[in-house]
Amino acid sequence: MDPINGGQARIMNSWLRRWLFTTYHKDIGLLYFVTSLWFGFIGSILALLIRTQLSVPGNTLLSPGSYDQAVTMHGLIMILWFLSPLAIGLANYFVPTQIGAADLALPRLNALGYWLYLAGGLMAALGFFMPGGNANSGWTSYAPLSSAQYSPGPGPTFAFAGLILLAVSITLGSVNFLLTIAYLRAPGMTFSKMPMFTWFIAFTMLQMLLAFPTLISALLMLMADRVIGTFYFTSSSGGALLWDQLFWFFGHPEVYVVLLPAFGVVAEILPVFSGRHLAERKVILGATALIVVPLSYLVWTHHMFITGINLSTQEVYSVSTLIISLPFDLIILAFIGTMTRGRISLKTPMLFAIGSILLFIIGGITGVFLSSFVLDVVFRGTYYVVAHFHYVMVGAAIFGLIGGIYYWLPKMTGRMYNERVGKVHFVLSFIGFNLLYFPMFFLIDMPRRYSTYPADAGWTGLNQLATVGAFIFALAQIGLVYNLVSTVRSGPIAPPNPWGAETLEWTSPVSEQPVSTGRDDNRMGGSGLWDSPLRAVLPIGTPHQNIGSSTGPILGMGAGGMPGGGTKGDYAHGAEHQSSRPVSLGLAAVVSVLGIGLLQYWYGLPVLFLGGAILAWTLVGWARDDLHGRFSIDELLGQRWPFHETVKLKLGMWIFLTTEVVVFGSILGSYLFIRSQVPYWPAPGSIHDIPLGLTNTLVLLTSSLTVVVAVHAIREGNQRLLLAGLCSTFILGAVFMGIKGSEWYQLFHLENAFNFTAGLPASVYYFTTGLHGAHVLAGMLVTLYLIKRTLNGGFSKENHFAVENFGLYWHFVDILWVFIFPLFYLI
Amino acid sequence: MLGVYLATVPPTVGIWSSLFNLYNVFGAIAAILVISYLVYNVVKYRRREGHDEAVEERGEEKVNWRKVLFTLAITSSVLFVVELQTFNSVPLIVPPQSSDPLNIGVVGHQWSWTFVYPNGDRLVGNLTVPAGRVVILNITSTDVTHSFAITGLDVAVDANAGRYNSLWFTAPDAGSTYTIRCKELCGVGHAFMTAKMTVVDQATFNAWIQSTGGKPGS
Repeated sequence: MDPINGGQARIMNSWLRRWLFTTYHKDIGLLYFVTSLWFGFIGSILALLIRTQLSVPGNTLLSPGSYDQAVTMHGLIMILWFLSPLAIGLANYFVPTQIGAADLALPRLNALGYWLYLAGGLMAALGFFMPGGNANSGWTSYAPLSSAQYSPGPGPTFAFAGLILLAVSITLGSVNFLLTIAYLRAPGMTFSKMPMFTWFIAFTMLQMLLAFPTLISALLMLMADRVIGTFYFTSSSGGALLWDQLFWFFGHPEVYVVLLPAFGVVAEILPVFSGRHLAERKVILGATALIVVPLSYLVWTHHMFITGINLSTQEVYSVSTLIISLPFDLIILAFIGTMTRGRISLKTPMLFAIGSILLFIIGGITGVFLSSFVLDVVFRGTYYVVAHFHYVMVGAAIFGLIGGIYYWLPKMTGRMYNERVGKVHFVLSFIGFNLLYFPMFFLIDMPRRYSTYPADAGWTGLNQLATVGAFIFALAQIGLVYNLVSTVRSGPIAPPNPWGAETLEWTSPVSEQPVSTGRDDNRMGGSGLWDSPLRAVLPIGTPHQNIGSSTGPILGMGAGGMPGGGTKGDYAHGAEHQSSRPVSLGLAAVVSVLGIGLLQYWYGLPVLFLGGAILAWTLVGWARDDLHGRFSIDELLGQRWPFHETVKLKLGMWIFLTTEVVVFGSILGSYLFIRSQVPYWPAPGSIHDIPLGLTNTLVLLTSSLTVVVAVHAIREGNQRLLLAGLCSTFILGAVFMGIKGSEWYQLFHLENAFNFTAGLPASVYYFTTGLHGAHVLAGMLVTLYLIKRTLNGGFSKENHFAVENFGLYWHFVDILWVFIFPLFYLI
Repeated sequence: MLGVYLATVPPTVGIWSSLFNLYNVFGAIAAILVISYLVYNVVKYRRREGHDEAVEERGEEKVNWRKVLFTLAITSSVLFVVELQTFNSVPLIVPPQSSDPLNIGVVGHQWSWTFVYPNGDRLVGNLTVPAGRVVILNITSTDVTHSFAITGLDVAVDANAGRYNSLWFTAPDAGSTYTIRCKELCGVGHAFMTAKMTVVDQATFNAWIQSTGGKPGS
């Protein structure tokens, strides 16, 4: 074997291992960063197709069907696969370093989040290549247009399933970040000293935590409608309005989810480049925490002013929407006030930050227009709305995040970007942006999502201006790509803290901690020019660099590039910080979703089984890793946390259960909404067997008692009682599932089969109890793991937080049934 | 001339336009003030080459409560004024008490509008209304969600299956025509889901509706 080629293969292999199996926050940050830019590229191509189609009236470049897909996927990809993940990428990279943490609290969960995000995005993109095309009902996926009847085919199913994966990924991420920010701050990093970017990421994660579960619920119901034929959104008893309510309960907070990270970036950049402290820091934080975050859940109905909701509801939500503009007013004035009497250095990051503020002012003020439910009668569904939210989402959010990219690029790459190109990038972006979106404010009578328009409508000139602006804006982004690539390849070496910033990520104290040494020190040492993580992830670089003897660190493996040849070198935690399970779960998700989407064909079911098999194999592997302590970093515990702190670990479970409460809150809320809309509902006892249901309720509640016994036993150090408690819990869970199964079986074989497609009562019953049953099943699987670990002697008086956390979960599932039982059996 | 113009403005348009003008005035003033303040700061305090005087000490972090309250007071007052006017403009949505409104049913479906007259007549793609009379449309859908909008009359409401939403208007000029569009994505025919509205005088309307078989709308 040719030694050189063999070596190359080995390096390639290591390179693949690093990026597939990494759980290190900076690596995952870079994966998010690069992947989100790719999705941004796809979304931009779709945007240019849209603008080209609308450049002349009566254009036939895109068929109406293709146009609808382009519009739909442009929105979904840009908001959910580009904007938020770009922010999450920066957050992954910089939140731990800003607060002096070695990594995120749960590194493998973080990796899993990335792979689910990518899996979802690939599924959504795959939809374009399916017969019948991709989702085409707008990013809002209004029912019943998004149903199997009006959007048939595997494409939309892929897109919606992809959205579920994304939403799950984001939910996992929010648990992880909140836990990290709550407990992994370095000593002395008090909340009052915490950097603004981290603060705003915390706000963002809190918003995600409460908003995305509703999206998950809504999408699960939509998938049930599409795949097994339930009637949540297809019935004429309020199906369309139910989707509106659920979607916008997610959709409005989502606006702030997109916006707040950019505000965090701007709040970092402004003081640094003005040479002053951030003005009114406490006001900014207070306004966001006390008004923006909570109130964002109380304004969603302003998206529904003309859906036929009653007048007083419109008035209330109009006022709440106005109130939410007040904190933004304070924030913007504080931002501007920061510059007053400063010494403003107009470097590229600052230009983008200022651009972000300026464009947000326009986006925000037009938002006040839209809060008027009377004006909204005309604005709703027109280009005025399109202009408004692009000023917020592109203007404020993307300009801010691009500012963040320039700001942190020297930190991520160790090199400086080209300032002149950066400035040209900004100027062209700013001009292109305004030329693109400002004309749309005057297209008040042109409905959105029109695939074409007649020449006599009077919309041609404004549309052409917008199209010209779109191409200028798109071409300007070549500046960004040029700067990213050329900085990584050949930018001059950056000083450790080029901007004179005061936040922790620039002073890099992380080097004191073994877990996070590595590439930072390497770069700081000045000799590790090739070890830039960004370089390793970008498909660039000349061949001789890739095989050079001292260039191992380029590829992320080996320690040859370390000054002094330290073995803890570049990829400090190397193998023990890697796990193949997250990417394997991502694969399981892709294959399962493929199977679900293709169920209409004969091979759908086998593919779904294959996905299930990979999932089972991965979960077993993950459990075995834990049983054998293979993933040796104590997740969350790190080095500094003694075991008696494990009580705090419960916080993670509580945060997770919060998302579960929102998931089931949305589902039970939907039940109540449907009950309020349908004229007919079966009387108690007429379909469901009340004594049997009651028995099952008692079985499940008893299992809560056995869990209490188990938890108390191990708190006393009694392993045998723990084992007995866990086994009883498992058996009671199995009995519950058995009774449930027999109930379903009987209902299916009633004279008038009460099956999935037997009407709204059946839809709601099977969906709700089915999802609850899935939770019981998941709990039983965890019980099996705990039993195995108990048999291995894995729990002790001091170390048993897995049991404690399982206890919380199991109680939650039981309490849930206490709500479900009366709703379906008794009333 | 002006009087003629005013006389022919439909009431819904009058309400919407004057409200929009109010928002535009305050919105433009606010935008110009804040953006000017921003640009002024950027220009005034930008670092100049050659004037690299000693870096000013970073100021202590202190909340200027007076400024905060002042900002809130100004903004709230402006918001209060415009919101009050929005509340005063509710007649755009709520039909006036009219002794003699004309009720017409509207059914949206992929991808056309059907109009159901009081005499039971159903017409696809063509709405004829008498000039000067309060018209109330009761709008629904038989399939996906549509949104019914009359360009130039500033009225719109969603069409959902299984429920009726209504809107009202009065078209003052006989002989004028309007375009009806769908404002909610409803499938591939969304951009082509238009209808024509023709305004005729009451006598012509009565004659037309009788010729189609029924009695005049009442």
